[in-house]
Amino acid sequence: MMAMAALNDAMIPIEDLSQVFSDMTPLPQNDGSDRVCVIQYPTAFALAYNYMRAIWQSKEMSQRALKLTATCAKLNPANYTVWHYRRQCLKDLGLASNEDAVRQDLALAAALGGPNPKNYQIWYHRRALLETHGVKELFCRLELDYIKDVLREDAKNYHAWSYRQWILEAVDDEELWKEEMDFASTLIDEDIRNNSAWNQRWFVVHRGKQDGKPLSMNEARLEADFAIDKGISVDPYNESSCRYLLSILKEQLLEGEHDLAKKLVEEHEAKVSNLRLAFEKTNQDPGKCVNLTATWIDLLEMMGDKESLQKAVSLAKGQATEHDRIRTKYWLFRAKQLQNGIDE
Amino acid sequence: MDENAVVTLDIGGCTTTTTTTAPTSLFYHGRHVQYIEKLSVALNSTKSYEGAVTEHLRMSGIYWTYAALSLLVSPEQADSILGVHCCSRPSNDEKTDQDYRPSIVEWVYRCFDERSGGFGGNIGHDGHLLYTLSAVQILAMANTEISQEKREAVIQFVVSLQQQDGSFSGDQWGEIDTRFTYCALCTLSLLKALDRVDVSQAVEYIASCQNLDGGFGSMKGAESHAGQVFCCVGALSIAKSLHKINHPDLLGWWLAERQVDSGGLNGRPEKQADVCYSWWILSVMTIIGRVDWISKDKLASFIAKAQDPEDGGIADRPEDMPDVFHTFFGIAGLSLLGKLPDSFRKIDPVYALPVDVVVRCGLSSQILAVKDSE
Repeated sequence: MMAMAALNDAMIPIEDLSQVFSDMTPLPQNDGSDRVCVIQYPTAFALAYNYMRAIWQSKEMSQRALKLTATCAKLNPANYTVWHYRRQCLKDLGLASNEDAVRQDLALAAALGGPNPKNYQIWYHRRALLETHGVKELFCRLELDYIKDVLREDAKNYHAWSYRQWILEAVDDEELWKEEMDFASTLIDEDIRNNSAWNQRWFVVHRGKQDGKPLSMNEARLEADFAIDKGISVDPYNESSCRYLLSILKEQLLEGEHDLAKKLVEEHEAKVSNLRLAFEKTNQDPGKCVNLTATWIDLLEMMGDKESLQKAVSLAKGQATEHDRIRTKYWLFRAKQLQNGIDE
Repeated sequence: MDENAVVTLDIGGCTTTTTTTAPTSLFYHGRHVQYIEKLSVALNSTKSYEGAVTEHLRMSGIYWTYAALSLLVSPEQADSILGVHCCSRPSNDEKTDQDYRPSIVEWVYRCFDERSGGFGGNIGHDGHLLYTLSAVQILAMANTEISQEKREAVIQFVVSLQQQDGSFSGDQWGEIDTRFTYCALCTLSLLKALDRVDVSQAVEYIASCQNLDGGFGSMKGAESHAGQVFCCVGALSIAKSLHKINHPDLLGWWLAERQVDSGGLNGRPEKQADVCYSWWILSVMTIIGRVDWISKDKLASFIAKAQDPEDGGIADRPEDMPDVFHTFFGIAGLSLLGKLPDSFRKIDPVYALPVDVVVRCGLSSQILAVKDSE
């Protein structure tokens, strides 16, 4: 974490701006009206940005310009032109490939982003620095740790996950993939409803490569069992674990060995069917668990035999008329589609 | 426009779990016009902090404002209220006499970035695909033909951003995201220059961002997200390549599952409902012909509850503060739901522009026939 002192060193204090840029005329935001004079309150924000605009116009690339970009980024971390200019200064000053300078800029971006940054510019700045410098081992670990800190604040931060995926794929190290599997599993343990963590598990188990290669049957079985044992059994109302199971099975049906895939489907249809029985044993209506029913319908459809399809039609109609009425028309469509499957 | 003008929405008397102070079935379009008018003046004021921290994306802000207003009033009224073609008087706190704000169109042109050939978020900013699209959309609504010279510069800017795998970066710095494919194809379509990029490669890239849950993410491997789904499906629609959606029924269901008990839509599983998804999701469902798969009445009720009946504007969810972004998407959502009177202008689900603008510009896209249970 960047110390306050280091952060301050990276910026120009507002009270020093006029002195540091005494040779420049600050430029107010041009609103296109070509006004001779614009009345503006001399707020810190206006002052810093007025000097920033003067620098942009002069195209000066210098230490003071670099520091001014940090001052301005602190005031508005989403201002993309500020970040662009910062990277141009870093390049011009020969700092873009300097390890210390890169480390400092990563720390600066972290300090300016706060505990849970959600702006595209600040995340891209990190990536741009590493793309220029190279995602070397040192930075890779530092960055994965940084992202972990952010995910601790918000385990579903979309930017954090995208960036994390990029690093893992860029480095493509087996040790890291294994550690990431543990990390994703831990997050699922902590919050079974974290869809991002389930998505990450999928990403990791496929080693990131989107080359269309399906998992091996052994891997698929492990994943399907995980989805049931650590997902659906623990919280049958959760959408993510259901979708994960269906995606694993679907991948095998589409791209794996068909007969083995069918067998895997049958095994897990039986497991889901048993989970529904568990509801009945405790005098609860399994129909109330809409997700579980939807999953069972998909599995019955995958089984494809007449009896399974008939069961699926009946369940779909139940969703339409009773259990998931907010999506009535979807379920009526689904029932009809399944019925067509029987009639054909 | 009478600030008290309201319209009763037909939501079939449905009830949802959210209870708020605002009645569920009134649409305060008079107040919304007032809200938009006040906000655009306020943001332009040199004293506005809100204006200062959003100045870098003002181009998109103007697009949301103009598009929202266009759905509520006639083109002439919208142009007059915002000063689209004529300069408008500055707000009262300005002391000078002779200065006038430029027209919106003039201001858009001032945002053109010579160095890149694109439009920036405001005057003095670097060109970026996001703001280039917003600029071109604004000019289309304003019925203003872009100059040949600028048109060519913008086309070259967009073309220069296509990568080898068909994806697009947002600007010359290289950030890749499926949002930018939508921005690129939509911009080029508006400029009648779609053939200047490798559309089939762009389509292949989008297709590769499909996940097995039926959704699309920001890049390959990324979690399915409703906003990204809009960008991907919108791009495929412009490229007349909806057949690249592997499982349209599954996508439709994934989108339908975004509807929660309150009637609102979320962007990913287990996240909160947000009014803006009324646009991102409804537009896709309209494009793929499956908009009936959600409860339209419950969604309309959710959007209605997110209105501020006093000061106008729509928020991300009931009881929160409105902003122009959610105001636009909320109104656009109600338009797509068919809940606004026929006299109101309709919005096109692919181009996010009034349908009459899309027709006038001769734009085309692909929309699938409605799938129903019959």
